[in-house]
Amino acid sequence: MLEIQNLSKTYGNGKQAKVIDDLSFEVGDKQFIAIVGPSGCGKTTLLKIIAGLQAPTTGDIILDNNSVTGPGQDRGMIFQAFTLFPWLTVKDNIGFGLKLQGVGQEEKEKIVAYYLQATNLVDFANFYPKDLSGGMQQRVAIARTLANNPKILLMDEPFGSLDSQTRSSMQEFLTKLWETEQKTILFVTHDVKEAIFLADKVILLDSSPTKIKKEYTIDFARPRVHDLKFSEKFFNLERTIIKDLESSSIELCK
Amino acid sequence: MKQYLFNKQLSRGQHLLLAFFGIILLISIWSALSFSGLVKPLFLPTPLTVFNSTIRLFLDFNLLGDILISLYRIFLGFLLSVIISIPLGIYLGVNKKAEAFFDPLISFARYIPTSAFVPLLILWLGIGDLQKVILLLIGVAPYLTLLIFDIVSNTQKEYIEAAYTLGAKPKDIITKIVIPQSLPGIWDSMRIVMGVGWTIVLLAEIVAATSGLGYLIITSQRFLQTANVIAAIFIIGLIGLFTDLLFKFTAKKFFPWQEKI
Repeated sequence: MLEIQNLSKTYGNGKQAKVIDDLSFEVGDKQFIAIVGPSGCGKTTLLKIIAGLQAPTTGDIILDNNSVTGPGQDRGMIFQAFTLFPWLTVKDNIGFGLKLQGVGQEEKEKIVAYYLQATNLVDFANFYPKDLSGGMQQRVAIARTLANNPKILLMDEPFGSLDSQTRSSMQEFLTKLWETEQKTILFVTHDVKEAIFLADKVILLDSSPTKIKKEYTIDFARPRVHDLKFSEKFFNLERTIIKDLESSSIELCK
Repeated sequence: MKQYLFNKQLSRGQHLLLAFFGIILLISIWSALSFSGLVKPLFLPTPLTVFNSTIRLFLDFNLLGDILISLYRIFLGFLLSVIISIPLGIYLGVNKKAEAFFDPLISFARYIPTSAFVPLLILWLGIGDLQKVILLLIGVAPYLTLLIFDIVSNTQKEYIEAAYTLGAKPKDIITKIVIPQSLPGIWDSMRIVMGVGWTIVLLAEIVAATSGLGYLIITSQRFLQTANVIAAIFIIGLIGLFTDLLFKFTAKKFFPWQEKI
């Protein structure tokens, strides 16, 4: 279980900007939680703090009773920017973390082969990232993180740079993958539809400084398919969340 | 919109054709000036005279020996510079304290014209190969170090962060991210400073030497053998062109993962 306890983050020394203020929540094992909020509300900062890439000003991050003090392979992160290492092939990108941990060659190849299969990339194993489309690159990035067997997957608008069609097929791909892999996922997005479609629970953040405004339980049955997005229940939920989101965006403007 | 596509890719054929026309143009202007007698042969001999001189230099005056000795000096000085600059440049790029310590020293060294060291080095080391190699080192190493430092310190932050979340330790970041990402840039910097290396060795040979292409140039000039001077300049140009192509070709082989520019 991931616990975020009284987290605050302030930037700057003289003139300070409080980005996150006293934020607390929990992510249960094998839960898929989506975080939505107006842009510039510190969602990326929050994920980076959980990943250990940034230090919080105050508060604690606790993963399975261990306090987070720096980055580690138990918290995998998928970034919005394409971060595949261009000098490594798809296969070697997926095996990058395994190699760092000193996993044996045979074992490594087995795991890499499994994730190539799971992400439909078998035919591209020896391609370099420059020869892949954006959607494929993000699939490799997901495979690379999953191959490391992290306890939690932190996803920072992973489909944000993709066109809407690819985006929607990636969402379906991710739900399927999550249903088989049963990982804990914390997914940041500004796309409400995406959040509802993917998550068990949507957390709406308020901005500047970031705090939880509202939580919504999403109880659509799984496996979820694309058509779900056109159901009335889905639409109503989307409208409710968007209204709540807009009210905080307007407050931000004042 | 067409006029904005200034970096549009040319086909291989188009590229070669244009390159060929460039060379033809140069030879045409040269021929026009020299064959017509517009410029006296003492100042600009005809392409034909230069060609004949080149053959004669190869056959009777051991031009190959001069080429090889110049190449040997460049190779040695270049190798020494690379051995020093690559680790130093990488170290400066990843270590802020080292950067603070070395930066003023290197910038200071880089702004002194290398030619200013020639008299001093003759005094210290004489006029043998060692003097040329050290001069090249003085001229090239600070320059190459700064280029490499710049490349290394521009390693993309996203890759470093991604590597950390995949379980990398700081030393892995250097060996598995910073260095592989920087290699094509380092290779290209080596290509760039190779040209500087030629200038420096030629300068050293012109000032004081008993062999080499620079020595050939200065002795030919003393005896008013202008065709020999031009022949030597052409050979330097050709060797330069060849090394440049070699660097570019090997870059494609070594770094197949790079996006085409």
